Amino acid sequence: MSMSKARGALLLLCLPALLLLAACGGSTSRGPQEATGLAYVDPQGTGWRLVRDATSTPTRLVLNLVGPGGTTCRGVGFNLQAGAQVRFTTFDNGWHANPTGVFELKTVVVDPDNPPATPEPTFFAAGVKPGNLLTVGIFQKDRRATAKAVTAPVVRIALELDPAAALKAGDPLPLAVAKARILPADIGDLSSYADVISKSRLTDIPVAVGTLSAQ
Amino acid sequence: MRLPPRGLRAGLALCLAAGFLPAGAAAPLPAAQIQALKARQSERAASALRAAMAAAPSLGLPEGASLTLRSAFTTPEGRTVTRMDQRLDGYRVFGAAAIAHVEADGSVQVLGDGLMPDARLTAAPTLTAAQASAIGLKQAALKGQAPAPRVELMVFPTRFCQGLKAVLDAATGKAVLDRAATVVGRPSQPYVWAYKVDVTTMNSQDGVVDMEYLVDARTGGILRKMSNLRPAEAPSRVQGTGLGQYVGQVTLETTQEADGTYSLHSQVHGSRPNPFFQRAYNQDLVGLTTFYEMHDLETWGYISEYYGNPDNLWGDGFPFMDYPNEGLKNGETAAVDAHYGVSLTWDMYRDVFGRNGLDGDGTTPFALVHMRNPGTGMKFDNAMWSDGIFGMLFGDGSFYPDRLMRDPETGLPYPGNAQGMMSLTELDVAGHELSHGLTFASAGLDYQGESGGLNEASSDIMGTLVEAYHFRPKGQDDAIPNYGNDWQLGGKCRPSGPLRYMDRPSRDGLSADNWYEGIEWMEVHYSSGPMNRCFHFLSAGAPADPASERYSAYLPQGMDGIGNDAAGRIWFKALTEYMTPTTNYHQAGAAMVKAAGDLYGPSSREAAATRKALTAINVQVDGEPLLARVSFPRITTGVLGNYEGAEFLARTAVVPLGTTVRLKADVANAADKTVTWKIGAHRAAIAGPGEADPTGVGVVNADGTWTAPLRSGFFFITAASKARPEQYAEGLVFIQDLDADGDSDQDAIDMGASACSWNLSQVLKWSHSPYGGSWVDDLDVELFQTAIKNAWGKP
Repeated sequence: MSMSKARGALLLLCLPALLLLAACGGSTSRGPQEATGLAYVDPQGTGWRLVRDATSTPTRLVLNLVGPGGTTCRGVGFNLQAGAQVRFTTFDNGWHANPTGVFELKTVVVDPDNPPATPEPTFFAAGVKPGNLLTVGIFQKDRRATAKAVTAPVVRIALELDPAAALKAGDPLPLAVAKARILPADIGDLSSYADVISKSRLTDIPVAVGTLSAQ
Repeated sequence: MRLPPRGLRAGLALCLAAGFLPAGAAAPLPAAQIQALKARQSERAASALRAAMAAAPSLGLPEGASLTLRSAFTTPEGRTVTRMDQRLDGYRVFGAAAIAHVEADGSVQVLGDGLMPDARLTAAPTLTAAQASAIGLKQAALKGQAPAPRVELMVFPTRFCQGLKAVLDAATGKAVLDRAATVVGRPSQPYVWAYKVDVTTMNSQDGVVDMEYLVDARTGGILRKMSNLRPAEAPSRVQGTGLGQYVGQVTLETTQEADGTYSLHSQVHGSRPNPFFQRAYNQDLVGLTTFYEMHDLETWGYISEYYGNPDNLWGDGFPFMDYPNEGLKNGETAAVDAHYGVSLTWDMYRDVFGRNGLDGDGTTPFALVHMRNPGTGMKFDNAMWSDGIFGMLFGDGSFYPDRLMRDPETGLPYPGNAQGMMSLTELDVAGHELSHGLTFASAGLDYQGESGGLNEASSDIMGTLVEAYHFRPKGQDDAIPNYGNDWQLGGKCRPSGPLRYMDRPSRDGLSADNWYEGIEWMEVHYSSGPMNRCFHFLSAGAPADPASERYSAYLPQGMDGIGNDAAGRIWFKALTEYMTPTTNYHQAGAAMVKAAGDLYGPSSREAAATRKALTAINVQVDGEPLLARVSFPRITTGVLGNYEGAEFLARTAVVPLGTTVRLKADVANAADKTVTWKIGAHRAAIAGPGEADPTGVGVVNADGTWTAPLRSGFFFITAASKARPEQYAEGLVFIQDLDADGDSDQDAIDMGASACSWNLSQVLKWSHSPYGGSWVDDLDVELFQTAIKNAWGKP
């Protein structure tokens, strides 16, 4: 049996049970249910985009930032605007974002004679600015580190529906990237000051965002 | 939240003669009895160690912890004071110490207040001692020769990591961030393995270097770096005559050499060799010797002993102007003051307090005069003690023109500095410097935070006492008179004003008059103020007249003093018998009360006066009603934040430009928890890099919300109890511009722009450093992270 057929069979088995549960609830309302979580449909395309992570739950939506194939870079930052009905939540690290390990955040070579501070601070931070604007930055600080491929998730964020929002399932929710920039792979060769000064700068990128709604 | 004051009582364990507590004053014992006790000192110290180890469980020490003897001495009352280092698996725990008192009758008290029972370790060291030594030497960046560093593997409490350091900018008179001395980052564990690497040398290329580096034994990271310089067949023993600039004509202990000439070498001040001379030069220097630096453009930095004097008459009494003849008559004048001052202080220890020198064992210190600034070669406006060389260094000061150094453009000598010093060999300054050696060899008060202020105060106290001792009546060497001291440190050597005022420290515009929450990150020469003032009150009393400059609002009824002698004995006993490296103001107060009880009885007038003098500087001791206390909550985000030992970092809020934050303060021991806010500090300035009286930065609302101005920098904040305004706390806010990418927007994306300049010798754009520095390093990274978290992180 193929995997798709197995899933179809499972759905058929469950359908009568769902109908039975609805009947026992005694509800006569035909309108949408009050929303308790978030639904998200991934955006189309293969560029920079925010896609749903498998660890998402009905009440906590986790999104991954992934980049286009064939692209390498040294870090990325973005500002994500959400409506007041949504809350950005924190991870175990206490930040509103979680690194995935793609970017090399610490010093590359630990020279025993000139070691970094312990623990070494990194160019990683996230927070929510007034107006519910999530700001995230994750960058390699050591230019000796190689630029990294970004097809795997480079950073995660998480959202929840505000319980006080009183939305109905299916209600659309705004979500848009207001600004996004990467630190490119080529930030200049240290043997040439002119090269470094001309290339060491952030580059704007578009980030596609899927469709967010209450559920 | 600050821990409540811990009295010595909390760590007290009674051993052997259970229940023993001195009910009254302990009188000095007959000399023969003291000699007998001193002869058994080693045995008595060993019994103290056994008692302390037996008491280890009650002191909270874990399995694997032990104590080892560090030092012992016997007081005139017959008490053998034994200091012990705490060890874990055989390794010393930095700053952790116990004291045991073995009384004349053999009973033992163990004082465990300075122990660190929570010391634990997990991962083993990975670096070798040789690697740590190399790291220390590289940090020191010496140009000349140095003996091999001393290296010790130890357990390091990470709350003593260095953090940010400030330095006074001579041009502006304002404290700024000292990036060279700043150590960013702190291990997340409370204790780590660390190598203590002591780099010490004295040569013409480097001058005097006495640096201590704590190197993380797993990562090689620098956890802390400190200068241990504390700014400010023998022929026959003879006595010479000196003419000093400050002390006038005095008798000096000198030596007649084999050729009949005389040297400035005392044979009665020191009986054991100087440890640095043994280590560095393989020489036994026994007995106080005064050296000088000789300077001319050819033989710059040559160091010599004063010798070959044909008549044993020293100095001419005039300020030194005779460059480059430091070794001739005019040059001897500073040596007379220094040699006499150090000798007299030593005599005071011996004859008043019954102590044989700094360590109680007669180890020889030395003095060096005419020291120049090792970096610039210019005349030096400072004097200092060095733990590493076990000696003192005295500069000539810049008040008079520098005839040796010439302006390269005009060819003229550098003119004198009206704000500068004359020779820093004034009597109380000499006493001050030698007494750093006493502190080093006894309590070992850590030279940062509150303990650092107490370290400085202790030297000021001894300095003012020796100034009075100079005027003692003939034949009364065992007491300090109540006259002769002016309650100023360096009252003569700086024409523009003394270095410190002990009766009203804030007269200098910098020092604190009373203890308050936040004094721990004040520079130690200024946080000494409250204890200096406390000592002044204890000796000379405090007025009840609010119009008096010496009035204390914390003791409105005033008090009577008990005189220099009694006050000095109380301080000396508290320092040498009760204090440990981490003692803070409240613990010092408890130590003083205990010492007063030991000397004069717990119910004595002297003990009561001690309590009052402490109350007058807002220090509370055990058994008194709890006072309202205001404190700033510790900010635990980021590794920058908030540990003991940092001068000004603890509780510093780091926020982005123009953002609105909510400042918080805790009020303890008061029903009314509200505070009044002020941007700025109570005094004209303190030695953090902050604006004490900023303008145009807005106001803090009653609920603590405040919109940071569009102006970066450090700003002081003060929170005072609304119900008890005399109780307050001072903290800092550091406002930084995060807009590294220059798009007029502060966000986390800016970190990417900052990363472009990380670890480059010159920043690519000024905006890349949120601190505004000329390069981007981990300090900027850390500040970036902390600012974002504080402003927009999880509430």
